Amino acid sequence: MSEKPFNPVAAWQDAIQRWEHELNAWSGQFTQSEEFGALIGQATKATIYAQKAMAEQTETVLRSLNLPSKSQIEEISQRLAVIEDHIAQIRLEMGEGAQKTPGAEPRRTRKPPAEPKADER
Amino acid sequence: MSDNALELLDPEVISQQVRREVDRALKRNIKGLDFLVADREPVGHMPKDVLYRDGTAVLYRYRPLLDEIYRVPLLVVSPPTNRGYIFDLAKGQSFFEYLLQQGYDVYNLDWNPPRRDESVLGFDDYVGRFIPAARDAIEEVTGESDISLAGYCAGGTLATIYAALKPTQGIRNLVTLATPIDFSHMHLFQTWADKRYFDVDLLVRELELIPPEIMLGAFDLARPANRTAGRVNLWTNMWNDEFVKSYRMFDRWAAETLPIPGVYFGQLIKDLMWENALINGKLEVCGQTADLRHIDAAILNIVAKHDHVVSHESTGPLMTMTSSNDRDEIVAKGGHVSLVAGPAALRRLWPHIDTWLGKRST
Repeated sequence: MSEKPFNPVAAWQDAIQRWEHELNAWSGQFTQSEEFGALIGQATKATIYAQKAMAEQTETVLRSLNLPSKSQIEEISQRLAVIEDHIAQIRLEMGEGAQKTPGAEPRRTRKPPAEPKADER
Repeated sequence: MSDNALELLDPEVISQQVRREVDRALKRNIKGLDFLVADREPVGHMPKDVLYRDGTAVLYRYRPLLDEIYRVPLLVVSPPTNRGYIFDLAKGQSFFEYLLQQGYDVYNLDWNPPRRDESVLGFDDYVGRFIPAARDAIEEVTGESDISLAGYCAGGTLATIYAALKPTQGIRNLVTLATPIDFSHMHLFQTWADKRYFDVDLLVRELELIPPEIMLGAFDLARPANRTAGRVNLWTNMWNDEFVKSYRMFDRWAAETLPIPGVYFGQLIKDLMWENALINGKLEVCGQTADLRHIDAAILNIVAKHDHVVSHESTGPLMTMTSSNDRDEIVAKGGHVSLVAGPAALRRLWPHIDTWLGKRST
């Protein structure tokens, strides 16, 4: 049996792959446990409350500095998105979408290629 | 001493290896700098037209490549959390390019990031409004009322729910790629969204639109080594332009995960994850019960052998609970994304999809 010559890069990649599999396997077991569910549920809740508190604080500071807040910018962005949607809708109704003329359509008569017979395979 | 050991000590072999590694190290450094300052990798190269748009929903028609195409159009539903360009990543790695080359008329129901006022969208909209509107738009262009319906991941779930609302509906074929149906087998999400600890109402109420980080966090916890190992592999292969290009395209796709409407998220968790309502026949959409027994179209269920997101078992009911008498399944090598992108799918999977779908699309 002939051995392959030692390749340090391949060995490095093998080591990384092994580490990846082992860590993922360990984590896979943990993420299926009830403790994980409890932990992630609490962490998500805490993050939401922290984000909410931070957003309220920031909003107050921005208002006192006479600067637009995130929610005000989001409101403008939403209005712009609605306008863009309406423009897109009008363009579609004016026929700027896919070609709708039957002449430009390809023929819809294609048949699948014949399957080779058993003795031709 | 063995021949191999002698070869290892051969100064010529050692010098060749050293030269190659020094060359690659230089390229890594030069290309590594390019990588840091490069723009986003361009994605989606097949020409397409917008056929229908309604807020977050957008229907594309990919321009047919052949003069003679199959009669039955193919509508592919993207998962609401992801951009549809995964189906058309790059030349030679594009699922849609392959389908167009085989003579299919390909449509993609894709999603823009939802606006805040769309946080109230739910199954009634995704299944009961957007998919029927897409079908109407396709029928207007093609004159065909028959359709092949396909979907990837949650896009496949939406397509399946739609097909389950009423019998027949002109759906000739249902092609599902990594599509969860039985959510009791979605183990990672079951523990992540454990009913006892997960306050879904709080999330929906406070956030309105659910940011992608909420769900990506669960993936990262399940596979904590992937990101680091990916970066290490990138650095090792930085000299290889093809590897870097592919890495950047996938990285862009993952980074552009979309937020989803709170109401849709709430239904996903409560109805599907907690109640498994699609399996229990209790899922109501637009006042109708989604019943898998209504599905009598030909079914091709495609699953990835090493999919850590959607297990084989979670797709199982497509093969056992539907009324179709023409059902096939493909278990492909690889992971969740490798079904719809990458050169391996082009060689190993897509030709099987073409063989199956071609004879059912006339």
